[in-house]
Formats: sequence, C-alpha cells, structure tokens
Amino acid sequence: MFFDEWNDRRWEAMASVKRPSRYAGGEWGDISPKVDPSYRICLCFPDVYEVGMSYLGYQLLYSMIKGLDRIDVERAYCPWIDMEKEMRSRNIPLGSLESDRPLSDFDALGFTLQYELSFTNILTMLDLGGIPLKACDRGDDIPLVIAGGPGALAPEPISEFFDLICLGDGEEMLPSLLESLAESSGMSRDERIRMASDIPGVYAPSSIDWTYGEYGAVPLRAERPFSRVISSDMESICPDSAIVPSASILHDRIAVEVFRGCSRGCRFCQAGMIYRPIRERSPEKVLETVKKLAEATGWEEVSLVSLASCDYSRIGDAIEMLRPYLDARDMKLSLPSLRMDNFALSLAAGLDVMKKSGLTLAPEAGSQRLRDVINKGVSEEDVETTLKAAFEHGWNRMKLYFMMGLPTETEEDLAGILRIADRAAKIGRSMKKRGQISVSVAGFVPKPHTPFQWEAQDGIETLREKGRWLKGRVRDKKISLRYHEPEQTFLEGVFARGDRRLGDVIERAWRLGARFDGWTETFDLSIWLRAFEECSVDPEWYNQRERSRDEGFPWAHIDVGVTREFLWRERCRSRDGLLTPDCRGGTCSVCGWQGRGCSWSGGGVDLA
Amino acid sequence: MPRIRILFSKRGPFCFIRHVELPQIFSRAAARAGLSIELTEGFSPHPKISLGPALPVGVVACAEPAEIWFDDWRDSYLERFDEALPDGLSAFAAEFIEGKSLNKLCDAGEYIVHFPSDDTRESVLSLLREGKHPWEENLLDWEIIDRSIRMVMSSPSQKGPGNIVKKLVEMEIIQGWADIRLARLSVGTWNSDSKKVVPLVESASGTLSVREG
Repeated sequence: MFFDEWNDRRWEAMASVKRPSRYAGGEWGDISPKVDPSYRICLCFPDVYEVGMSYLGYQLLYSMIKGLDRIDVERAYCPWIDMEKEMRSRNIPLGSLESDRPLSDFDALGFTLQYELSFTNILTMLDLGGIPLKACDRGDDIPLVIAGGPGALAPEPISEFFDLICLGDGEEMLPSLLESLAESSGMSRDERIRMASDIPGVYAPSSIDWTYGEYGAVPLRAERPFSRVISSDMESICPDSAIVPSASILHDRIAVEVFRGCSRGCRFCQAGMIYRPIRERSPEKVLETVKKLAEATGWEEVSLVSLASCDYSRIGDAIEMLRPYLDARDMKLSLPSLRMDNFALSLAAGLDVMKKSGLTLAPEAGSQRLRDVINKGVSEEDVETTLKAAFEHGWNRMKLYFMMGLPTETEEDLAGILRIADRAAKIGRSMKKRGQISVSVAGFVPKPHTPFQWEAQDGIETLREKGRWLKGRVRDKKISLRYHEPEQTFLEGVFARGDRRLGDVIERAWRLGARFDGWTETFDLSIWLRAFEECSVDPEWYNQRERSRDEGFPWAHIDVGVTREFLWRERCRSRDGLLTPDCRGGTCSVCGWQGRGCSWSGGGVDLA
Repeated sequence: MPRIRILFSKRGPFCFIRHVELPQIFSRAAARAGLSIELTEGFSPHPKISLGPALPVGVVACAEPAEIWFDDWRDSYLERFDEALPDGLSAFAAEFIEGKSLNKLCDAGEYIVHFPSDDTRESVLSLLREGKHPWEENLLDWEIIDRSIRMVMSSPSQKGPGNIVKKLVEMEIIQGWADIRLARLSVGTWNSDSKKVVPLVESASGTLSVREG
C-alpha cells in the first residue's frame, strides 16, 4: 500500500526540517494554475512564508493578476537555512508554493524589496531556482527578474540582479507591463527589456551606468528621471478575495487599506515621503470590501490598514458602519499604526468590537525639542492624554516606539525616553491596571528620499552605548526596554543609501554564507565585514558621513514625487526646530505633489 | 447544541500542517460555509472544537475524528463544510454524538508503514517475524500489504506515530522521519476478535480501511 504524495520530491526534505508547514501550502483561496496561460509570473518574497504571507501587497497583486486574462501568477518564499541545505543536498530546485513549478520555468519572477536586510535571500532564491544571479549573465530563455516595493525607489545596491524595476503602485504599471511582456515573448531579452522600459513606472537598470566622483554619483545615459506611478482611485483597486494560510503567520487577519500616503511629514520617515499623495477609500467601499473578504476567508479579525489609521478622515464613519456587521459575526477590529496626538477619545470609548490586547504608540523621540526636529508634532501632553485614555478604555499592554541616534540628539533626549516610559507605567499603576509597558528603541537609519537623506548615521559602538545606557536606567519592573541590534542597524544604513558598487559586496557576502540578515539568530556581521574588505569597499563611507547639499545621490535618478528642494528645505527647518504642519490642516508645504493629484494643496500657503 | 463528530482526511503536502492549527482551520471553514460554531465560555471565547489523538506532521491521515459543536446541523451541511476546507483536507462523514470525549474513546490506531529502502524494510520485517520488535505490547497486530507494513498500535494518544519512528531511530534502523513513510488509516477502538480498529463514526464503518486519494 502506497500513497502518491510519498513520491513528492520535497517529501523527505520537508520531513527533515523544522516548521515544514512553511513549505506545505494547503491554503484556502489559492487558485490552481491556469491551463496554458500566455505568461507566467511568480511573486517571490525574500523571507520565510510566515513573514511573506503577512504582506498585504502580494495578496493584492495576486488577486489582481489572477484576474488578468491570459496571465497567471503563483508565489514562492525563501526557504529557511535548514530547508536550503536539504534542497541543495537533494538537488531540489526552488519552486512555487502552488504547484512546485521551478522558478526557471516561469516567464518572470517578481520580488518585493521591503527591507535592505533581505537582499541576500533574493540571491538564495534565484540560485535555488536555477537563475543566474546577475542580470547580465542571463540568456534569452531565463525568466525576467523584476523588483518592486519601497526598496525599488533606491534600488542601486541590488540593481545588478534585476532586469526591470517597478516604481510605484503595482496596480498601476503591472497589468500593462505583463501584457507587454506576454506580447514580446520570443524576442531577444534586450528587446523585451527595452520595450518594457517604455512603460511609465518601469526602470531597466541596464539602461544606465554610473560614475562616481567628487560630487557624488552621476548616472550616465539617464535622459530623464524615472518616475514613480500611482493609482489615484482607491475605489477601483479593492480586492474581493484573499489567501488564508493554514499555518500561523504574523498578521493572520483581513487587512483593508483605508488610504495610501501620509502628509504628516515626519522627517525621518521614508513611507511618509515616498507614498504621497494621500488617496483615501470611502467608508462604504471599506465596508463592502470587509464583507466580501470576511465571507470569502472566514477570518475572525479585521485590520484597517494605512500609515496612520486615525488620520483617515472618515475613520469614525467607517467604524460606525463596520460595527454592526462585525458584532453580528463575532469579529474583532484592530487599528495598527495609531498616532498619539489625535486618537479621539470618543473613538476609543465606543470600541467594544476593538481588540484591546496591546496598543502601539510611537512618540519616536523622548523630548519636545527632538520631536520638533523630526517634525513629530506630538506634545508631552498628547502623550499623557493618550496613555490615560488608552488605559481607561481597557488596554493593558502599551508598546512605545522610539529611535536613538536621531540628528542633534543629546543625553537629555534619551533621558526623555525613560521619562515617558516611567510616566506610562505610573499612569497604568494609578488606574489599577495590570499595565505592562514595553519600550522598543530602534537605531535611526537615514533613508533616501527623506529630509534626513543627507545625515550621518551613528556608528555601531555609539548606538550600543546609547542602548546600554537606556537599558541600564530602567528601574520600574513594569517596563521592559529593548533596543535593536546595532550591527544590523549599521548594515541597513549602508544599503539604504548605497550605490551600485555594493552589488559585488552583496554577492560576496552571500557566497560567504550570509543568509536572513534581518534575523538576529542568523545575522553575522563578520561575514559582511570580510565581504566589504574583499571588495575594497568602505561601508562607513555610505552611512557615517554627512553629505553635502548638492552631492549626486545614487537614488536621484528616481523621481518619487517629492522634490529635492522640499526635502532640503525640511532638512534646514529641522535644524531650526521648526515644525511643518500637516498639509491637511490647510497649509501646503509644496512637497512636489501640489497640482499633481494632491487633494489638499489647492489654495495652500507656500512655505518656500 | 449539536455535537457533531466528523471524520476527515489529511493528504498531500497538507500533512505537514500541524495538528494544533486544525481547530482554527475548521472554524474558518465553517465561517466560509456559513455555519456557526458554539463559543467556549471564559475570558477569551473560541469556537468549541476538539480533536482526536495528535498526529505528528508528515503523516498521511485517512480518517481522523474531530468534534465540532455547531449551532445547528443537518446532514446536507457536511458537503458545504467539506467544500470550504482547503485542498488536502477533506471531511467525509459526520454524525450527532453524545457521551465520552474522543481521546478517551480512541485506544488504537491503524498505520501503513513504508520504507523507501528495501534493506530497511527487510530489517523491520525480520524483527517483527522474530518477535524482537521494539514496540512490545503496544503493537496489537501487523501484516504485510504489498511493499508496506500494516501495523495496529495501542494508546494513540501517548504512543502515536512518533513512537513508531522513535523506537526505530533508537535501534539505529532509520535515522529519522526522512527514512520512513507513515499513514494513519484510522483511529478508534480496538476489536480484538475481528482484529480491526472500529472508527468512531458509525456511518463510516466498513468504508474506511482503504481510502487512497
């Protein structure tokens, strides 16, 4: 007696690894591959399944591409190191989750660049999939390798591994890109790449070269900047299905976007700059989408997703409309990314459908002065009011997010972090709650396309000293404080503002064994230091140096929509501790989107 | 509230989904099928579902019992529920039930054990023939079926498939799970006269011993 599945080439490998459910699929809502499509793309997520399945972007793109006529889509995730080893020793190529079709049998592979420290995983997936690592080594029969996501807007360190890079909302450029690629199959690789790069929002790294000199990085053959494209109508891009995993993942619930973009203008925040302008979805459409997804998935929780839930101008309406539906189905609501200042008490008060396990608040800096520098328009009073309100309305666990190493930071600012944590614990105690305060402190990483793109980053030792200083001063047992591993923050900073010369370093480190660099258990800085040395690259030049105003940046050829003038203006205002108000209050900060799709810029006051 | 005992199979790569994930998978399937499940009492209520003896990942399962307290149940609901389950999971029998809990009722499991290596199979078979096998009184019955071995083991809750593998590893006959294939044909009560494991859903009796996909 024999069961067919025992012939699965992955069976023994799956039987040999920890957490084989990562490779099992077995999801609800995954759609079997189409019969004989004219083009197949595999969406590849460069991290393990439970991380990748929590990523909303692929849920959206998956159902969108499945809806295209002749084009099919499957997914693949990065095997954990134990599985990679099993696959190599058994000669099993990396295939899709749906059908185990090897990556090399697809027409295109789409990767998302969410995080600098997942770069080596891209190489693992390409290599296990039988794809030559560098774009220039790929022949006509090899799938095109495409990147998207926030990292695609400053892609140079990883650009040599990609044939095409997508800038902006996938809903906007992917249908025409995939159609064009389907039509041009049979042509030479170069020809296909050239045709594809005519589509707005598509950049072919091979179309330009770089020189590096006294004034920074200069792109050659870049006639015009490559512009990011946006979907301006959020009503027309709602998903009506989603894939429900059978194995536990990080965000195991319905996620519905309420808006894209943010105009708060926090100066450290890349998302707040690169996803402009704000585009909202109507509460009616939100409700309709929640209903469709609840019925299609059976998920018991809904999360309203955006960069700052309470900035949704219709948040009250949306919750009122959702409440009866959620109540009737015993479903819970969660609002991630709450801001401290405008968390309306009335909103919190009525939220019995709201999940009240933990609340995350991000003051980001410990003192008013520093919060002004970073344009986090939150006052000490806001912080207190919100803490009180949150405890009052039933939350017990409070997570507070801060950064260390921000521009102009002093010891006084760090002490402020401890002061806020102490206040939170005291407020919790005074309200007789089992209040637990966990404080998370991240090392600041200056990011491209932000007002802080010119800043120097703290070195490893400095960050470690600050982290220890903070940790050593926590007295209250109700407070637990942890800080991010400074070595990872360091590497993230190097790649965030890196140029194409780092491609060799990434490949070298990967060959030396770097894997899952975003995971503390697998991260090994010594591998990277060796790779930098062997490639004669000084990593500190990339992150620990203040850049001059006019230096050529290796991401300047990509136009995300906000102008360099705006970013520089914001940088100067930060040094003067000047706040720049949210444009939604009526003053336009002339970021570059005025008159180009920003609904708030009409009649604004020009700060320039 | 109707307490419904179902039998389900777990096939293909889905065998690598953990047993503990099943209650959530069942409750979401019920929601998709438009069926509601009674919630447990207490601080964090959850759908009332109880499973039979745990099945380790990597074991094919042909007829596992589970009990679900639905708010309402008709025979036609089984098909609706089954259609809402992910590929690899199939519910094929159901009946109203009262009395003892599943884990107290299950005293035997029936397994197909297969070894990719012929040498390994021969070593295990000679142990069985000579009565020198490591499972002692735990092994209730065995026979050769084609190139596999059918084994009936007692105490599925304490000594399930994991114990079959563990003992063979201890004896250095295999190195681990990669060297063995296991399927649980059924789990239920042992009838020593007929030498059969009687499944816990009556309507399914006699249809279960061979359910290959």
